[in-house]
Amino acid sequence: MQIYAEKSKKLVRELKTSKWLPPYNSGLINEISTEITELHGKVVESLASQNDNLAVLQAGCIERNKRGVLAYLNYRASKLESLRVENGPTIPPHYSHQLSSDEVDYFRKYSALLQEYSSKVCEFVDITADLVPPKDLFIEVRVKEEIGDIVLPVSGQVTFKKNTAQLVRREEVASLVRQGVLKQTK
Amino acid sequence: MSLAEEILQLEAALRREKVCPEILNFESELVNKVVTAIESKQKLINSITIETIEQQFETQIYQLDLDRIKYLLSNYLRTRLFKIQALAFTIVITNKADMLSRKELAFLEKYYIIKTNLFKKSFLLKIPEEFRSIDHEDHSTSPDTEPEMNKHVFIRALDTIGNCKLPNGQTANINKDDIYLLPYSLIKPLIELKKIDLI
Repeated sequence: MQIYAEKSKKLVRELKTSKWLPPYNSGLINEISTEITELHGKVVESLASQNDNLAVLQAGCIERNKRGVLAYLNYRASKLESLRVENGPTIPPHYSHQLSSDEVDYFRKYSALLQEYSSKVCEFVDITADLVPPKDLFIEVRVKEEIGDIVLPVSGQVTFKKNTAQLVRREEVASLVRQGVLKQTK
Repeated sequence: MSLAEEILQLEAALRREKVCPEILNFESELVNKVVTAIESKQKLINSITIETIEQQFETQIYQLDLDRIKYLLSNYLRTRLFKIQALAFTIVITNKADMLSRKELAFLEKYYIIKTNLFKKSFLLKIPEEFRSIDHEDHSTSPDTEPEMNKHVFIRALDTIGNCKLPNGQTANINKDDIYLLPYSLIKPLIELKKIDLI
């Protein structure tokens, strides 16, 4: 005998197996969708043969499956949202192959939406700029990864060479610090 | 009201928002005032031409002070946005939208669309049409976790409240400035009456 709604339980459990997110399991989602379609056929059958109790049970399995998949997708989406806020508008390469193309698309749309909201509230405030209370205007950073020349809004052109230390404006490099490219030393 | 007082109020609003399990009314007047203050101060700082070291030092102190106000404001707005995202479906279904600012509402509307699109493309379009809806009134199928209304919160009485019946049958005599740890659902009406503050 087949046990229904086992697969959606497995899907939700998968979320716990990874530090960030497990690879997107489209195969299992497709299997669950097939199971739902199959169950739907059975509900119709049971109703036709006036077996109402069985129909209620089968419909319950469908709802449970659906709830499981939605919880899975919702949890993943919320992880993407925190990634956007903490890490800036790009997905780090080692994260991107854990995601489905729809999720990458969602990340991009969400990122634009957040940007739009932030700029509408006040032109001088970026709501994702400071996640901890700012203590100094300038911070000392050590460069962990080679960046080379970049242009910052106030300081102008700055050269970040690997393993050098520099004094820079906090707000301009905040996202680089959070990405781990720069490390704050003081 | 001076800017210093407004900032204290914003701090209190942020604290309330962080503690409360559901979304609170948007402090539109307060936020508007702080935004205007930030804009004028930033313009002022930008317009200073730095000639001496002293001037440079002074501007930097102003800028840092302003950055801290910006942090407070963005933290308040961010805290609310996160709550709106977490409760998006609940807010849309239960029509709680009047608690939000107009900009937050615009955010929520678009957010709701991209979120439902994600669900549709990844999953809902693969199942029979009868089961695709996710916004039933009883939100049995809503993907949100409902706000935990019985969560215990710390409160400080702003006024003498008198006897208050606790869920375990006992009564508590709450005087002004008393601090209690109580379930949120019990003291919710008192917050709206501004008789207590969440801390």
